[in-house]
Amino acid sequence: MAAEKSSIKIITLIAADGSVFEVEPNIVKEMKTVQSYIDELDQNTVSIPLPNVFGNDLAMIIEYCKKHASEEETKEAKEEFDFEFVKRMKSDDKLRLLQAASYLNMESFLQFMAKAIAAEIENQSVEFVRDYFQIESDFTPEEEAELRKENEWAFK
Amino acid sequence: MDQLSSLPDIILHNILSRLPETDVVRTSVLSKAWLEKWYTFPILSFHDGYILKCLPPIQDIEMNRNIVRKRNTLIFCDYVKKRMQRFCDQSLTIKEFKLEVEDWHTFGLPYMSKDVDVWLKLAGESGVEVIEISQDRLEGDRQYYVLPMDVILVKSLTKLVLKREIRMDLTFMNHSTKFFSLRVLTLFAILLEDERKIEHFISFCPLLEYITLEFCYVLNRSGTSDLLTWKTFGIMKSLSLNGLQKLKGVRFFGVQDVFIDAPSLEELAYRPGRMNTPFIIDFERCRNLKKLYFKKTKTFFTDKWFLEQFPKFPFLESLELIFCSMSKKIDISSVRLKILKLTFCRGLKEIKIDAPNLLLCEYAFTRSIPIIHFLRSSSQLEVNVDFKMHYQSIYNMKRFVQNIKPLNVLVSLSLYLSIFSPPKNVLVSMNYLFDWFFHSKYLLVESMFTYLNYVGGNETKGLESFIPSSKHQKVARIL
Repeated sequence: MAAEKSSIKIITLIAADGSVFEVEPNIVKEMKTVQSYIDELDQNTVSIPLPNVFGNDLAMIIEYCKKHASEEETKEAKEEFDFEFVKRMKSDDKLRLLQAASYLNMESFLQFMAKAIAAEIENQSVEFVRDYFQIESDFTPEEEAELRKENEWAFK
Repeated sequence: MDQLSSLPDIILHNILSRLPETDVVRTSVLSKAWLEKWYTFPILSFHDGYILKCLPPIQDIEMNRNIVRKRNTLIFCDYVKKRMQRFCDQSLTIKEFKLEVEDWHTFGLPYMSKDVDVWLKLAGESGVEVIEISQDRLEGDRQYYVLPMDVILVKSLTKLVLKREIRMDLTFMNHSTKFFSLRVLTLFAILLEDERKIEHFISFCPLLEYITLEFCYVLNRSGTSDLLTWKTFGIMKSLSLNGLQKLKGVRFFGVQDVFIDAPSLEELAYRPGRMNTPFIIDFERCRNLKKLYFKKTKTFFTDKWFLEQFPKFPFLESLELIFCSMSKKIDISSVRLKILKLTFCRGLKEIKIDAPNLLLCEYAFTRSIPIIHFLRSSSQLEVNVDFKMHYQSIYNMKRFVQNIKPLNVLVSLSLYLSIFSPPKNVLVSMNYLFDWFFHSKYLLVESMFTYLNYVGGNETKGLESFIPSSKHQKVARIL
């Protein structure tokens, strides 16, 4: 069975919008959700539907995985890539990619996205953060005032 | 419900853990779901200066300073207690507990010791992994917070950081329990009973990976715990470490004699307690060292050391010496060495470097001007020279640069000019100066002043105008 598994050459990932990505097995190793699916199957070719991830996002994730799985790339080149990668993303891209990373159970990509999002909300006002995360407050003004008073020092 | 608060707690907590405490607390008012995430966020960090900053500042009520501090101490303790209580009531995990107090806000740790003891106990019972306690005291008698060791040494603790005016009472260490969880121990200006006790304590933590002891003090034999003055305690005279199989890095500052035998040690940083008294640092058995950092050592890095001892560390990749006295002539020969930094080292006249894999050589100096030879060097070698100079030294600079052999290795030359109003002839000579450094790819000239003024002239020129344009990239920066 082990031999059969190792003979898997290409994995097909199908995004929520139907777009199809063919990737090599080492690329999906980081995606634990996909990897465990592959491990359970006993087939030479696999195609995996990912109903919670859109094609554009999946393309970006695969690009990230390819760069980081590459043994030829230096650490510096990878850092440079990460820097450009963050620069290219819009705010809502980051939120969607974080959710995708959570769904795909990707440890290092999750850390990477958490860092990128933290950098956006660092030193920002409550209003900015609400707007950024698209949060609608469900507190009454009195409740919110009470909470602010409890930790007054953080709101000065 | 927004998109993010539906994600697992661990992911949102991951984002929060990268933010300053103020930002973290502010997320509590975003929405009910976020408040819940904040309530369970397992990193608790309390800084009295932050928490008390919305109260009237002390300066306004200078006359009643102690009254204000008393009030502040109560408010601060109440606040911490309240936040800790929720974790206790709901049996939530506390992963990190950080406490920072400064005595111009409150009375400091010794005065709230009963509360702190309780918080530490609570943290210990809640699975704490990281404990960091620091305090800053400006005035008054030295009062120490005595750390309750039995509370600290819980099975979950991996990192312990203590800073200033805390006393570790290690007398209980007679029993044979080992603390297998502790990986990182950092003690800064902590009062220890004596050197043997801390050695003993360290030996009880067999899996320690990083140890930092900076300027810790020990009681003199005659000293009693009730009367603590400068006379009754002194610097650590000696420290001997062996048997730690996992030890990767140590940093011992302010310890006079050090002996380390740790086969896995990769990083060692050392500075003696007193510069003008003899010291011993014995790390000969740490054959796997990769990084050495020495500060303020007299008569250690002699030509003989580089000849006889240096080859004993075949894996050494980085050597950094700061304010060290050296022999007049040294030869450094290594195949592995990648980084060499010599900062304000005295006595050096000539250095021969035979390191084919050296990538970075940084040299900073103020007065003495040595000759540097590179015998075999990598094509990627970058030599950065940092010269904090008075304008009168400008001619010496030329000599130094011409002495670097071969010339083409010099990549960056950084000059810090301490010129207020230099005489005209100096500025004229600066034009020539930049011409001398034609082989340097980057030339960074820093000065405190936007414009260097000719004394007695009407003309004011920007620093940039003194840097000739050429095929090389030159940079002038005004601080």
